[in-house]
Amino acid sequence: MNQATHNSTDAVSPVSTTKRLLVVCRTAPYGSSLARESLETALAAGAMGINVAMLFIDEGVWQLIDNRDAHHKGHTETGKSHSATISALPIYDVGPLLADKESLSQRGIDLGRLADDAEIIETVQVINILNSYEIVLSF
Amino acid sequence: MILHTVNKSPYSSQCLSDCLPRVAPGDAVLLIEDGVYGINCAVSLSMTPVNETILRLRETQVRFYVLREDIKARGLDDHLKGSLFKPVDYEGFVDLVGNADKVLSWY
Repeated sequence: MNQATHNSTDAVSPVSTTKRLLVVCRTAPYGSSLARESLETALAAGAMGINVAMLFIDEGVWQLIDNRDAHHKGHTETGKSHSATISALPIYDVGPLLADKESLSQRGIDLGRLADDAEIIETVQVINILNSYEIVLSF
Repeated sequence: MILHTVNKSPYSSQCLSDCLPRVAPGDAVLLIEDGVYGINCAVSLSMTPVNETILRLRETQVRFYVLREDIKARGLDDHLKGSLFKPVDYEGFVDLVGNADKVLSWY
């Protein structure tokens, strides 16, 4: 009986919620499934009450271009654009969404085109951010 | 302390040059799989910026390793001589993971 009680508790909260998760995104959307999987991981973690943030660096910053009205038939099961999911992240308590300034400028990305919730960070901050989260997953 | 693993050749991928600017003092960098082709990038002329970064990071107690099994598999044993990367075996890999707070994969 005790065992069963334990198991049901574990199913709700398998990871200690005191540990914060950082999802590091380094790939552009659509070319591979990695970008999609990083969002699914963040959403799943958020749904389980885990404190989860996302860091977009290198090619990952392409994910933040706000293109939520576009429909990409065949790219995703729902036909929804990647950025539609990005814009939904705060609803699921995923955040902050951190974007490396240098990666953006190297690619000529207009900051005005970014998802509303993207937070631009200085490149020197990246190391501190990587160190400050207890769990880091790289996509 | 973070253990950074790099598994792509620096001649075909940006992994290593993307990783290095994000390495903090005291961290460790380990080349695995095709990442081991980077063992001598530090002495190759085309990789001068990588060379300079590695030398600068070594001054901040960053340690550089390469997985010996993957070096052997690719016949690169002779490249170990004079390399800035210290060879470790699988056991050493496990020790590095055990001593790190977390592992960050660059792939």
